[in-house]
Amino acid sequence: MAARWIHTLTGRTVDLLSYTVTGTIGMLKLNGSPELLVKAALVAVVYGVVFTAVSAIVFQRRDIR
Amino acid sequence: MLNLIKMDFYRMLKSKSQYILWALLAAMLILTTATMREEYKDPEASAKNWDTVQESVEDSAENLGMYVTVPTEPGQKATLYDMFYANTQGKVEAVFVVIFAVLFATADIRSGYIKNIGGQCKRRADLVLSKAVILFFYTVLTFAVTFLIQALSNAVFFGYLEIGPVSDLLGYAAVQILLHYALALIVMGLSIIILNNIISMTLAILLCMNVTVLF
Amino acid sequence: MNQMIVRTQRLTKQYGHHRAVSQISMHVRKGAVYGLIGRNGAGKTTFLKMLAGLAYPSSGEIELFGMNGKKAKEVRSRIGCLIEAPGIYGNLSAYDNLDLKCRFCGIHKKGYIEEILKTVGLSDAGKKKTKQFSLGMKQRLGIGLALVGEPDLLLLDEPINGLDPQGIVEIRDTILRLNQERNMTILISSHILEELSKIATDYGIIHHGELIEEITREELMERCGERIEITADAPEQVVPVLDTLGVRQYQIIDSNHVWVYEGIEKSAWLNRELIRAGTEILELKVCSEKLENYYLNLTGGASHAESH
Repeated sequence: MAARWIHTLTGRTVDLLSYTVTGTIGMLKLNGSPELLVKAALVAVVYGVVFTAVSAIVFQRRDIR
Repeated sequence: MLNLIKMDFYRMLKSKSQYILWALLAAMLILTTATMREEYKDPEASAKNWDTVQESVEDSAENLGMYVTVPTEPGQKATLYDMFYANTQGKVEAVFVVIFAVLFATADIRSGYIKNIGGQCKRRADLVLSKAVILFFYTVLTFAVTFLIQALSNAVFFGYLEIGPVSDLLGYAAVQILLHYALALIVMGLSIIILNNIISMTLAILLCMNVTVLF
Repeated sequence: MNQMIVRTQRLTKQYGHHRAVSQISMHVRKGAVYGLIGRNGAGKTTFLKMLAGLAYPSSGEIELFGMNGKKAKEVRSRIGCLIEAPGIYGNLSAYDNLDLKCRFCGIHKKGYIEEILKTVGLSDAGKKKTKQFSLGMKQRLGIGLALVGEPDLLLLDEPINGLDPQGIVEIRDTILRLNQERNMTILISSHILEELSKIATDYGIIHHGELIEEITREELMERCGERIEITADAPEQVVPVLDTLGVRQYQIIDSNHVWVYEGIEKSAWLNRELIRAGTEILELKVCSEKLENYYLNLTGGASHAESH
């Protein structure tokens, strides 16, 4: 769905699943190239940092009930 | 911050859910290995299945659900790498990592223990960062348990222990640990924001089942 | 003048359209046992949460140990609190719960946890999981957790709620001991006024989120304590007679009333002397007001209040 929107807007075909953590876990090959491994690691780092930062900010600002 | 990490680490060690989840993970790994052994006993049946398996391997990452497909060709020895790959790709470890992440991230909030320490932190965000550190330890330990149990299962059910290409295995394992850690952090974040364990747990399991495919 | 441990300036907490705490300016002296009185939903817990750093004020200032603003965060480690129900892990023992807090505070002293368990009367709790504790035991463990780190200020939100009479006595004794032996400042909220009157040295009365009165025990005793109420046509005739008789503790209330706070047991003698001196006494009676009635009168719950 989102990939279709991106294609409609930009004309490019993007495999969004390979940019998600769970998608990357499933798609990582047995004998993957170093480039694929690095890309997978980057996906992990970006998601990890973003979600940790967001939850830390929310927790910092919210009252403890 | 260091004191927080020490406190949370001790809490992790004292947590029963950690050991229960590892026991269930071990049972799951033993079950998948035992099932695989039965399949590989019959060379004809396994050869017939091989083509079907090859087709589904490409699709499994893009379909909703969880699939454990072993990449060992009929007649070849099932290595530790093969079994580890099959279970990891099928998100067996992921399920147990996310369940623990939900339980651990919200235990202090649900029990109210956070009221004893929350006001005393100079920066409340440190409580989240401390949990993130502990989830890393848990993820690494989970994979260590996975390797140990899988190696034992291979030795018991197949009668041999072939590791496979070690450098490839280490590289693959390191990246998978990082990915599973990221998944744990995503689930921790969702749990802290939503503050409802049922919804968080459901979302976590759906993530493991590739629900992002629907979008 | 006593050092102020807690000072708030027009502290307010708003949840959407509901103002839980409204413009509270309050002072807590060092070494005091400050009783925060208010009915359910008055704003006591919300106020304590803001002091403890668990909730952010919508407006106003909090000064703790002489520090305010961002500097107040530095001194929050000197505060121990028990807010609402005790926050404890049910699957751990009392020892483990305290151990976690000790690790958080960086305390490794041998025997420290045992000492706290002894202070709150849980030495015999053993390895029992806290989910099996009675409410009183949980409350005591909650106080024990608040004591980790030797706080200078203890915030207790209704610590005797749900306790049996013996539990109440034990908690009361613990609070008094902490105040007297360790010179700990204690801010305790309750709606059980009888109990509060036995331990508090200062009182703050909260009603609908506002602090409507702040008085010391001595002032409260003056207002509530036993007294001889004299109703006379001309109080200016009564005062010289009282001075002649050596009565020092009295107060002219209005154009018809004088209250005397000493010699309560000699009311008959006082009556006789006033008449002998020629004063026109319309009425003389011994009265007192319970804290409960004083509070009810103050907050407008007067249909249930009566003077004795």
